[in-house]
Amino acid sequence: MTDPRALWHPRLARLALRAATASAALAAGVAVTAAVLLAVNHVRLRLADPLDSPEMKQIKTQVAAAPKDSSLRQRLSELDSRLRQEHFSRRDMQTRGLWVLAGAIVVCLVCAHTAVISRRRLPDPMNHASPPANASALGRWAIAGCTVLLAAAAVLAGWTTRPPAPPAPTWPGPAELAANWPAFRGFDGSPVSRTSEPPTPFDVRTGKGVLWKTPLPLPGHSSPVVWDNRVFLTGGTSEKREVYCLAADDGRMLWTQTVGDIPGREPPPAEILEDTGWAAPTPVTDGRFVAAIFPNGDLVCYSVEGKLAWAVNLGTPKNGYGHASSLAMYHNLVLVQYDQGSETDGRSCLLAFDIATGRQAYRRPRSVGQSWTSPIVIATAVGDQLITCSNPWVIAYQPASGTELWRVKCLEGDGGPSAAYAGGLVLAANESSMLAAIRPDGQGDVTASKLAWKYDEAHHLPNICSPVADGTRAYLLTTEGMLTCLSMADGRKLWEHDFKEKCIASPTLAGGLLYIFTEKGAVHVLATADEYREVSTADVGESCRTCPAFAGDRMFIRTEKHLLAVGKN
Amino acid sequence: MRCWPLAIVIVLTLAGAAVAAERFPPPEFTNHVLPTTAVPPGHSVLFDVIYLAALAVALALAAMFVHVLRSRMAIVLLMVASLAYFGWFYGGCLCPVGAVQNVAQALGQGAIVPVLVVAVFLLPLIVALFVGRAFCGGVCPLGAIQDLVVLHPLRVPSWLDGALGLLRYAYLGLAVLAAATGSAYLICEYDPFLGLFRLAGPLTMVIAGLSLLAMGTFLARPYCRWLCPYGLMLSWASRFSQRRVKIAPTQCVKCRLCEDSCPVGAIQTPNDDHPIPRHQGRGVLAAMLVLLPVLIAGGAAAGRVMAPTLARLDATVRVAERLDAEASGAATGTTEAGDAFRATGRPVKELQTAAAALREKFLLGSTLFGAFMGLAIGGRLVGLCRRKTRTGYEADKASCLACGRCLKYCPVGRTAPAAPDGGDAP
Repeated sequence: MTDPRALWHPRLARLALRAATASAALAAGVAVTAAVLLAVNHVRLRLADPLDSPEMKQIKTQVAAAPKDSSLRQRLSELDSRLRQEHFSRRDMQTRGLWVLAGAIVVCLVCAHTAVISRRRLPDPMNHASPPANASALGRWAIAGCTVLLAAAAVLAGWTTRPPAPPAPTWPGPAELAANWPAFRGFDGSPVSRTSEPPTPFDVRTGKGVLWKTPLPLPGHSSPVVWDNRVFLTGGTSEKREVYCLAADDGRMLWTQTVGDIPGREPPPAEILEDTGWAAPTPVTDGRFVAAIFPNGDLVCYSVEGKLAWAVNLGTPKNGYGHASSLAMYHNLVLVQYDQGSETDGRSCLLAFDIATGRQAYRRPRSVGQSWTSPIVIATAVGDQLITCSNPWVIAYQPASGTELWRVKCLEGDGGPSAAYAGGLVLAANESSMLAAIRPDGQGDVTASKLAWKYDEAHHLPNICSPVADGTRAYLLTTEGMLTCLSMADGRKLWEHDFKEKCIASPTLAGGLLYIFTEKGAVHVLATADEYREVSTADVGESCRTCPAFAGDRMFIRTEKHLLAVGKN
Repeated sequence: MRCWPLAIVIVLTLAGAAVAAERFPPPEFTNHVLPTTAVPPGHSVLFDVIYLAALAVALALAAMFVHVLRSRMAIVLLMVASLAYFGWFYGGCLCPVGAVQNVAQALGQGAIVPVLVVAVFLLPLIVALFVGRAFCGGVCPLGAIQDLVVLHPLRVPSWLDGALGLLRYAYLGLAVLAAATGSAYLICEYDPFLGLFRLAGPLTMVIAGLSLLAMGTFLARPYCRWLCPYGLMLSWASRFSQRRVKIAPTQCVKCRLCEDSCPVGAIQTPNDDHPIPRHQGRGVLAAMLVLLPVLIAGGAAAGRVMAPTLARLDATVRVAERLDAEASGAATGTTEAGDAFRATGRPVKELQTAAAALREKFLLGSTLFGAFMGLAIGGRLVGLCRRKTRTGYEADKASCLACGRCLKYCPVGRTAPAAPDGGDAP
């Protein structure tokens, strides 16, 4: 090998070495600068996604509210174009910068290589250190060290892959839920109170059995929910919406919270049917928080002490009668059946929010149109399920993830009655279709395979009141006041009774008694038997369109203007 | 011949194109029509035949340049040509390195492997059986791109080199396990240079490739020496080769220039004056031989422990575990993979059944993988105890990458240039 420097004049060689070194340093500087600028530009590109621009989001919201406003669309188009131009100019800069970087690195390497060649001295191999005498031993030790590291990695991997111990649940268990009344029609899809001493008889006009009666500031058709010594319910008008907390013992108003401004709130619906009103959905509570939803899409959550935990607007629902679906709860999740529009416009969805933080856990699209039914959470032999009803489907989901489990096509018309669950059967009904008893252990469309029985006497089918069952008998109540009792074994009609009064409130079971509330305020308490037998009657003194809540030996009833508690004094 | 600057220019400029290949949604409220996605036609048989022929010719040339012409310049030219053809023209695929996985999948799952892939997998191995790692020296695009950027190679101590070499065993074992279970093609997924060859790819892949190249300026061919799973198989085959790279064409003069020139430390030094007495060496060898089955058994046990972790190499297992966690409340929210599965409408039970079957496969595969690692470790320990007397400087059959640098440096057989003063040239 020949020393390259030997071929050059010494001065020329020195000059070449200096030039190469300086050029390498300069090129390195350019490369570092270019790399830094590229990194900054890359971060900006990543962070400044045009589609996530607040300005773009705002104008999109406005366009969604007024889709036919051509000036808005024009503004959106111009903004979209401007943001894209900015984005792509940054990307062009990135590409040009990469060329600069590449060139600088190459120049740096070429110059560095030239400098290395220029400075390289002839090898002096005889002065090289010989391999250490214990090279083999060192090698063995190194491999032994690697072996230990690999074994440790294997053990660590095996350890960490163990299924983590489930965190202690922060949500109430079944016993706590059963002792309270946390959601619309109880907690497990069967509006049956476990209380052994139902509050009967009582008479509001005379005050017999009435513990307290508290006037409510705002109207509403939501039913009360109860946790320990607190009763929660909502009220609302087109001007304001409120959440109330009353003391279960004496009816004192513990706190009132008016729903405030929520960022991103869309304009409220132009009109809401009076029968639905501005506070139709019933809230849910887990003893720590209470969550409520209103027909303008406001979903709010307060601590049971009345402190706002979080609030979000889900967008104004496209619902002809006004949103009426109550909230459901599963573990730490608030579940919202947000059905709206038609089944083809893709607006309906199932939503889940963490009740403590408001973080959206999932959003599952539903291929159904608007509905007014409420979801129920049930515990079946094959796992917990969330049951929803909306023309024409009864759809079951995994409540934790929103994964669809099964569906049955059995409903027609505007959906009002919610499902019920008893005796291992899901009961779903609607007028002009049927009462379907469904075995909830299928997968996919089980219309043909999981229908245990059906009942389709048209004049017995409800269009507002939800069915109720105790595992032995099922009860249907029509808006016209026709009550029908069916056998849960085969759907055979056992008896029927016509109250000849309008009924909006769904029937409820407590302590072996069936409670029927008419719209005028009459209360019929019936024995659950194979024949019609009225145990007692009462009158709440006002119109009543809501379902009662039971907790302990007390019953909480919302009338047109009051919340009252009945039970033993 | 300094071809590497040209290679770097191409590599880095193409890296820019790779980063810029992002997707963007169509504009709002315009009449912009999205172009129809065209599916390119597959390769013709002729294309495959040409590829195979090119590979065979390149292997033959590499062997000839190392063993007959003994020309480093010719090898560098072949490297550049291979880099251009197998790297950029073919996008780094098909290549023998990745073909390992096709063969493993065929053996593990009974999948059908095209003849071309089998040929591409076997050809360099067969060549290695006769003439050593000619593929690594002049044909492999992954090796070529690294070789061209070697600037100032540092010497890595042999003990560290040997320990790092264990990574190749782990990578090969994992790649075979993942492919044999039909879970993943790890070698391709984590090929650091693929993004540079294909002008597209994740930014992390491009950065990994560039980082390896930057490292390669001082630590020659790091991927080949410590990671390449196919290089490991070639090193096994080349141990049996009839011909090793012969540094000195005649008698070695022990000038040590070859040792100084080799950037990968593949030159074995004379050891006729072995420092450790023979009887002592025998004792260590016996201990290592006893340890070998222990290491194999221990490795198998460790592999069995790792089976649940390794099963997560499979997407089915990962999605099933995620859905289970969501269902039990251990995880909140959803993942894109879980959402995609739900969108198929298939029942979760079906997924769980498939995941359970895969876990069973991984239990066996991981055990074998662990045993393989135990064998590799034990084998290397035994190999370090073997005493083989050498009187001259030799290229190690297994680790020599046939790059030809030592041939350029060896003074034997060269005509010394006349010194200006009439004395001997250095």
